[in-house]
Amino acid sequence: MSTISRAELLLQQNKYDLAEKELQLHLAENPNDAFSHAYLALAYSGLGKDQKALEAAKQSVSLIPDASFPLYVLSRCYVSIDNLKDALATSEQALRFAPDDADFLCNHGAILCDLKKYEEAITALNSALENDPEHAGSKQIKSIVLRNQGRYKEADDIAQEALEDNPEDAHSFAAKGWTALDSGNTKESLQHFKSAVMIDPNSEFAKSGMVMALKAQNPLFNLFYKFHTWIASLSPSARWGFIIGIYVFMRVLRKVSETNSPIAPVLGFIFALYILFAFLSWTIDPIFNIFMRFNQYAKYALNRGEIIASNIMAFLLISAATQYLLTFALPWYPITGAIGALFLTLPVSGTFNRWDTKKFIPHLVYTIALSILWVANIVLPIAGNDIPSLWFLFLGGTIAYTWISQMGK
Amino acid sequence: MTEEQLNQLKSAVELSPDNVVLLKMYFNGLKALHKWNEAEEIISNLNKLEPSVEHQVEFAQVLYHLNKISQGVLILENALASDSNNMEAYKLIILLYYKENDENTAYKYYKRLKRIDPDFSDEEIDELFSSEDDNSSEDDKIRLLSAPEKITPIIPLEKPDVSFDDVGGMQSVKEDISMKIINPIKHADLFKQYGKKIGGGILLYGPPGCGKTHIAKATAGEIDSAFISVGINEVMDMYLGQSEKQLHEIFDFARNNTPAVIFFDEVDALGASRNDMRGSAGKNVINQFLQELDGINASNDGILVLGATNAPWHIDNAFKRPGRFDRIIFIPPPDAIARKEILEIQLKDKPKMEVDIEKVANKAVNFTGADLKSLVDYTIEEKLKVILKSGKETPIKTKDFLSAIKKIRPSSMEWFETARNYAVYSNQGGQYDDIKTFLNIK
Repeated sequence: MSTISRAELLLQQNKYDLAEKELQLHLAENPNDAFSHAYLALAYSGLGKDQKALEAAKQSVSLIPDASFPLYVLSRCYVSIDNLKDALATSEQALRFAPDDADFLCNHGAILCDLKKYEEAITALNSALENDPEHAGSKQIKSIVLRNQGRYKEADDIAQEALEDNPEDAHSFAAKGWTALDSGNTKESLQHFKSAVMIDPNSEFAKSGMVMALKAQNPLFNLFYKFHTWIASLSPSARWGFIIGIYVFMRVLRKVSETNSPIAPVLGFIFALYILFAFLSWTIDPIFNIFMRFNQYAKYALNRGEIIASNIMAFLLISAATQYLLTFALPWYPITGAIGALFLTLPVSGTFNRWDTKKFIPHLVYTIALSILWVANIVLPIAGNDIPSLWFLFLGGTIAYTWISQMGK
Repeated sequence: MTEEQLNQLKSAVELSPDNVVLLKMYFNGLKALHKWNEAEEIISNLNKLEPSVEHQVEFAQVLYHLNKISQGVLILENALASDSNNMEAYKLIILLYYKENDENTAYKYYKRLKRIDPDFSDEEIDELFSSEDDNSSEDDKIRLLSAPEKITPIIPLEKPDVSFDDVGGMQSVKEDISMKIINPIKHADLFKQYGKKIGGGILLYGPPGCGKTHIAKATAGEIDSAFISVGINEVMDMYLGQSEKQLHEIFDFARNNTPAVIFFDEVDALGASRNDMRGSAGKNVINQFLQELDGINASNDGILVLGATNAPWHIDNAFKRPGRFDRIIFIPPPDAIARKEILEIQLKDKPKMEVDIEKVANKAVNFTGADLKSLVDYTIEEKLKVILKSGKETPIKTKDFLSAIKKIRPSSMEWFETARNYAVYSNQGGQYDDIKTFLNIK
């Protein structure tokens, strides 16, 4: 009992390394203490050792399969490794044993929110709040769910309520910031994010919000942000309907522009605008991150993935411009270099958008393969060995990427 | 008992709340699954419906787990009044008093228990009293436990034999501490004449393994004072035992032995943001710590409180107000001079070396003492692998160390990533300016 209490205290104080030591010492003598294995899993999670946490949680459940707490911990471990399916199943099992536990219900709501099952998430979170009306986590998640549903007023109200319970709650400030940002109040959102990072400067939720709010001060970026917010609020089928609809509409427009010569320039202009819009809707985020690197306040808020992506984007854009100019200076220099660099920004953006998720590696592999094709399409023509099919493979592969990666969303 | 069965029992109890058999079954289930809060409610009802010594003991057992010491003691005293030979009640009351750090009373009950059953043996209870001298009489033991000086030094007192000369490098830190601490104590009269109080609190913060404890000891050595070191384990015990009294005793002990340095390692555990400790049992201890720092009930003149922490951001701002930890000193990783000294010690008895230590020290930027030790270990291991493969014994050279440096990530890096965020976004009052300077952030 005393080891558990000690470990609980240490975990509460974020002293995960000390909690780990305490629990390991205890488990060396009591290897079958299921609750200690569960607490050890929480300590590992805090230290970012997700795989070890999962093993400890599984061990805990195997020792006492009928207890709710180990199942709840296991569910949280699955969330950490992005395995939402198992996280949900385990969370359901935990709730079967303890249907009124606010922490378990909150975890359940968070998983459902990640799975975009918003109505079910709201039900779980409401139950949590019925059992514990001051449960901060449930209020925070509920605010996120409501924001994702476009119910900004309610989202703001619940975050405000959480802040009234605890005025030093960074997460609720950030939740208010995101709600303000999505409803178009960029200035207000920046204030909330600044309050959030002041309280907890290590909160990714707050820092990413702050960077987004800083970028959204720019009208062009703001336009795209609103577009993204709107697209994200659509149901998957409506989203696909919209994308395919626009695509078909543009194909028709192009056909018409080819046959009907008087309005061809106008239609051509609209078509060019569409291409630019489609291109920027993919790449504007990492492109703006290049500028954020020069902002004293924002540069430390970017995560490693965003920094790497902005570096690659800067390289590709400069490379496209340089190679384009080279084609004028050196007539033999292939235009594929410049065009390919621009095309590559699409998969690079999509790949780093998945930084820290298990989809990152497959996306990265695909992007590296496209990059090799891009280089081949520069080097081979210079060497006098032009293979057109390789170029079409590159273009087709890039366009296919934009469609395939949409399916994963 | 599974949770499913427990839920079924709960429903049954809700239907017939006066059914003693059902309540007992439900209580046993709750106990088995460590659900002490619910168990408390059930056993309380059970005891009302069917008052008995057995239920009272069960009740006290639950209260023991919930840290409700005085309530548990009260119930057990009633139980023992009804059944003065109940061994379980004795055992539990001993544990309760011990948990409250009232070793005297715990021992008195232990003695009564032994009088009733001289052959009584229980591993948990025997362990509590086994450390006493077995040759002394039982009366001696009580006297020992009754004497106040026996209770107080739970925390070891030492006179450190290290001084600033034993701390490599860290010149600016030493100068800082001299001005803020050592001179006011060494020239106490001068300071008194100018109306400056001696004592107060200083917070040392920085990445782990950079010598915070060492410099604290050296500070005590410089002023030739008593050094009382309180570690994380003692603090956790205070929380668990709800023992703010123990904290008071530490300060009182220091007040009787001035000049004294009380050193709290991992002080963020004791000065945790009360926000973080919401609903926790530790609040009383935190409040007691504030009172002791303020010296509300007794003067703190001549007492220096040093705190060390890796996470100053988790310390409640209340602790950083004037008169408490009002001076905050950043202890960075060892500088090049200190690294050279550490490496010289590490390589002292290793003959097969042809190393330019200064060059290695200059390259090992941000390496802590522990990192330098693993650098030496790693380099030697790598060299041995090569020797075993080639069969040629060659000395370890500077370049071996330099290539090893590239492969070891200094352990302080992770700390600086977190610290940088606080320095950039949460630097109210410039409290983390030293980190900004160290990291060259404008």
